Amino acid sequence: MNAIPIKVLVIDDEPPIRKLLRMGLSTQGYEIIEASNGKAGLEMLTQGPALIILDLGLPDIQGHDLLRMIRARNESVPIVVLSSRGDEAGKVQALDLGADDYLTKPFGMDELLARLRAALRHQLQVQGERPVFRTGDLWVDLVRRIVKVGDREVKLSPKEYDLLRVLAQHAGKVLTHRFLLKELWDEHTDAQYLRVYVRQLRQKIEADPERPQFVLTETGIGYRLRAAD
Amino acid sequence: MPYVKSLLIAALGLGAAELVHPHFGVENVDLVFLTAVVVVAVRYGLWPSLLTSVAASLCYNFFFLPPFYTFTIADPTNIAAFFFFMLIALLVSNVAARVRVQADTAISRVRMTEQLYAFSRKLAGTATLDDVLWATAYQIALMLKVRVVLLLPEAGLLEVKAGYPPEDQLDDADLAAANWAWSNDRPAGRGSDTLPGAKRLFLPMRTGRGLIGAIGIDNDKTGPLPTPDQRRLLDALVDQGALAIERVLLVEDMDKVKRTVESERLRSALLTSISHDLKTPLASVLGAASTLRDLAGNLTDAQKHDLIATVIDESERLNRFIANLLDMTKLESGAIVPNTARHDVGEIIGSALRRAGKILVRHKVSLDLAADLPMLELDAVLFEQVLFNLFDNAAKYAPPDTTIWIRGWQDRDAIVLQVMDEGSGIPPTELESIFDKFYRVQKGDHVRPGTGLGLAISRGFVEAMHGTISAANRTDRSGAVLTIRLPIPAATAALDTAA
Repeated sequence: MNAIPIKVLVIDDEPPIRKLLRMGLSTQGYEIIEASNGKAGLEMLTQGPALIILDLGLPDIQGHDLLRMIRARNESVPIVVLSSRGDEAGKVQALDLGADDYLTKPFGMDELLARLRAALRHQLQVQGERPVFRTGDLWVDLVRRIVKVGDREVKLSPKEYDLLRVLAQHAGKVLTHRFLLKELWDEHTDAQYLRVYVRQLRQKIEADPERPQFVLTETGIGYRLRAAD
Repeated sequence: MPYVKSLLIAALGLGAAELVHPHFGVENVDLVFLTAVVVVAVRYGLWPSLLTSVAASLCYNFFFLPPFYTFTIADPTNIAAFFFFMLIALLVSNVAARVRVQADTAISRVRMTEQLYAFSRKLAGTATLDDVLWATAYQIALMLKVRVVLLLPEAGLLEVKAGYPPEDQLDDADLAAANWAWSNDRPAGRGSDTLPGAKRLFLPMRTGRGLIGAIGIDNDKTGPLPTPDQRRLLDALVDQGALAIERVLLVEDMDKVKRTVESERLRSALLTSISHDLKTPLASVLGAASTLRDLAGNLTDAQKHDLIATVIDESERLNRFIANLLDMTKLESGAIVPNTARHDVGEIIGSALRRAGKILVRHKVSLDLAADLPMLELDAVLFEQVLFNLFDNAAKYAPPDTTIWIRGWQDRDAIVLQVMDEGSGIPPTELESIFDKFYRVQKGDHVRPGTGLGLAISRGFVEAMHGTISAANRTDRSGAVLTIRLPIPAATAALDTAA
């Protein structure tokens, strides 16, 4: 990581937040470029950031519009949006528009770094999918379709396996209900199906299904599988 | 008709006189006629009785004074007797008629008093301004046989508030007369000295405290309005109406004052709460951060770590407080519209526990959910917040190292969720008031940190999802029990999950 620093574009109008991100990210070897408004942010896309942290509440361009503009210029750069609590619909919309993850303000630095790592790792994974996923006791062989918790092999129905596979391929990243439904059924399926399968999956892989450690609920948004070790 | 009847009675008198005359002599005949005159006077009043007097005198002369069957009188003594008879008949009829008038007046006064009494009772039972105005207009219209409009001031000018028959608008001349009557405390309009061109007569309505409005009356007749007879009744009715209107207005004013006081009280509670709950964590953050900046050289690593933990914990507390304020504001402004879908309660409990993880580190959590609870129609975000607030509360009021119990089961057509703690419980008199805004269980002078909003928000959210939430104390030991009941939605087709 030290050899070629990863360039992160921060688009936020609050100087203290930019300062905090600059300090926090530089300790991890990231290189930071900053924009205090949407227009400047769009211009800085030419500098080829490897990741974008985008505040949805900018003074000049509405957050979701800016997200659309960024995606129109660059389809693949991971984007993590910053938003406030209680705006679940806004977060879902941002994710559906192509954001990779979200963070609720105020947030802790550990959380932010974890999200950035997940977003970057996912991008690398897409380029060359790893055959085995591993987090804690959970072990998924994506080639041979074998799932183990500790030493115990778990028998999953095809749909349950598909659900786990999609989650594992995006481990650490939040997946919206709509995205999961689209991957597993189609967009217009009732989210209730998804909840039922998640419950069944948890009963098979979680030690305490009511207090899951692997498949985490992002209330009002979707699900997230714990990031790979 | 009274005159015909009077003559008939005079004729009866004549018949009786003819019967009396042979036996008792002419001296008693005039008494028979006088009796007839008195009867008519009492029955029919002055003028019929005068007619009867004349008729009786003529009959007396014609039939009983010689020469008979002529109107001439031969004997001079009889001439005197005739004129005395006539005089007495006139006097008697006059006196008797006056008695009759007094009786009539007394009866009509009694009736009027009864009506006024009934009116005042009706007004006393009327609570709203509209009802009082309508009752007043109706009563005056009924008793005086006039059309009535009532006007009250609105922003300095009179406006029509009620009418019988209903009336919404007055023309300019009438409005001018009404306003003149009201501002000068004197009648105006039809039949008065001021603005007599107006269609109606307007009278000020006043009470001991001052002028409250005006009343306008009119009818289709010409001539004085009200008649002198009606005047006293009208005054009485208008006075009563004015008093009732004033009473209702005073009650409304008092309600307004009460509401203002109540909202002032809430506002000051809010200010106290905000200044306390915002400033306390801020003071800790500022204190810890400035200590780290200024005294870092004198601190051990453990102390530094402790201060940093303070900054983080107190900031999170501040964040929760602000979130609560936002939730409360949303609830109060009606901006909470639950976005419901079928959800697994266990899943939401799990995510609420995860979110509350840091708050609950010093407590044990025991989760006991019945297997196969049906899915519920919930807004997951709101419900997670409800549970989070309950966990937060339990952690705040139950001592460290005790257990917080979460239980859930099906009870007929509802799911019951309970959060129980092992704290000291809730004073029995306060089981309901803990759901009030800004309420906190107080122990002596010590007030627990927190906004006193958590439970109020929880109740608001639960009710928005058609559930109920209540508080009780444990019976097996000390501790509070918060119970949520949520209806199980009507059966839906079972999901095909075999694939």
